[in-house]
Amino acid sequence: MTQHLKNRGRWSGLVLLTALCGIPWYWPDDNFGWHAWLVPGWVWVTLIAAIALSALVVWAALKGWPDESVE
Amino acid sequence: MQALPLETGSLIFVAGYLLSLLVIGWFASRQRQDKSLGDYYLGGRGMGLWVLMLTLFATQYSGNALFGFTGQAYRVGFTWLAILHSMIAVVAGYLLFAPQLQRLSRQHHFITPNDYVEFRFPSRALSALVALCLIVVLINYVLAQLKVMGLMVEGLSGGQVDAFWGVVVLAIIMMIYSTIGGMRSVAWTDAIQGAMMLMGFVLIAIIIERDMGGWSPAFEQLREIAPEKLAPPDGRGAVTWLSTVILIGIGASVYPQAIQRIYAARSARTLQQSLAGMAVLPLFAVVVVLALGFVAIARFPGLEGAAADQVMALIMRDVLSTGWFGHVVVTLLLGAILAALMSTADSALLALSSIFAKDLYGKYLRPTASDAACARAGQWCAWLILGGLVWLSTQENLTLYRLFVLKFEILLQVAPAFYLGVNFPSLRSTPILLGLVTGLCVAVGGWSMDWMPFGFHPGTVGLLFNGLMIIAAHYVLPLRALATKIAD
Repeated sequence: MTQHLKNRGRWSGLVLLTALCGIPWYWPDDNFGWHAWLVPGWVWVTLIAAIALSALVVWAALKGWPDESVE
Repeated sequence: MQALPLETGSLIFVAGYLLSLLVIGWFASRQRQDKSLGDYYLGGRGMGLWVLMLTLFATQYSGNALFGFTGQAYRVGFTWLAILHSMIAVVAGYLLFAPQLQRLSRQHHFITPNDYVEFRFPSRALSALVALCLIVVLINYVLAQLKVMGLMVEGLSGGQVDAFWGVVVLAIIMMIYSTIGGMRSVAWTDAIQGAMMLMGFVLIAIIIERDMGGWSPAFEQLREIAPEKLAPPDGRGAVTWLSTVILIGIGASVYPQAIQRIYAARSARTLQQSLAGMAVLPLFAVVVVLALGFVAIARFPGLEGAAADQVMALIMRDVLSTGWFGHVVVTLLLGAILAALMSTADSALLALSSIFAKDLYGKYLRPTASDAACARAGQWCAWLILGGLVWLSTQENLTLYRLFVLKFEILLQVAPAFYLGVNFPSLRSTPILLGLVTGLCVAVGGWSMDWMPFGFHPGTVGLLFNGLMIIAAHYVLPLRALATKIAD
């Protein structure tokens, strides 16, 4: 159980970190001078963070599932 | 909803779709193995990968996802991208408790979410309070779906069919298939409904690119017309963003109907793969829905408040004018919207019926009743509640309706019983009960006063107090017991 919690703590920490990265904290109005295609730069950063978050959760679902034999 | 100039063919398709739901219900009833509650409410715990994934998807994405998300994207602009992270966070939330919960449900034959709470925390007060919270949330759910169903029927018929009768017909169809087939028919119809929703999203994305000028010019126009809606959130807005991810991510993962689907999974592997799929779906479904709202800002400027929730109907009207392909797309989309509403309402009703049958009727009203008798009582309860809600959904300006809007605030306070219950074996019932009461007081009190400290939702603040109370009670109560023992 302790090992499960440690493993889960690790990947949930990563998930939380990625979710936090998706939040456009204090992004300046001039987008750091970045003129991105179609929508502002912060939207692209947010979308990339969402893709990374989704990939992490898929990984956690497939690899981070507790091993019943250990318990 | 705006009246849509639909052709007879479209209405025949919708009628055929509704009829097919009844056929599925009849077919599901023939698949029943026995008269046990497990077979009726959990489909014999044999849900396979695709049905499980699509039923989870259809249950999670209600009518609100189609009307509410586009409307909110129209109102607040790109800061509503927070909902994308939130919907992915829901799956991360499941992963923190679903594996153990599924295993325990197989070992101890859980039917309702409260079965787990009672098993893990043997406290009558706690299980009664959790049951009450879940019932309030489920009633809220069904009521919200019925309200939108009424608006939709009125809009589709150009005001010729009264909202009340529209809701009555749809509610009767929904109740017939869920009563005769139980979880099997609800999950099978959900799977079809989920697939229709996904198809509707694909088609509308194509038609905007093909017939409505394309995505790129729409965003260019948006930049000129409403540049403020492209701006990132300020400091307080970023806090609300984080709070939304917590509120929905944790709250939606303990939907009673979703927990029953965790119990109903055929195996751990099936659940694992379904959740992996669920983590990818928002990238497509939510992004398309939000993009529709953003495109509508440029296309239909000037809508304010509740009028913004009509943007989906306005887009469908535009799509209709593009010719036969537009008619096909709108017809499918209407089916998808009906699907979204019905799949959420039927799942919530079935969960409500199971809580009544198992947690109230079978436990307190008639403890000697057989499983078949409990299931019958649950079905009657669902019909009665639905009857009351159909009437309630057509009432205007109800303060009671406002009360039912509380949902995530309440669910968030119930979440520690599941999240902490499966992960911390030493945790006892008193800290969870005290935390739940504290969290509910803060969340409901804050919500009634429209309190948003630093941009946090009252439910998120309630969860913080809930957690602090659990920690305090977990460590302080044993110390007090020890002190009393020493004093004696």
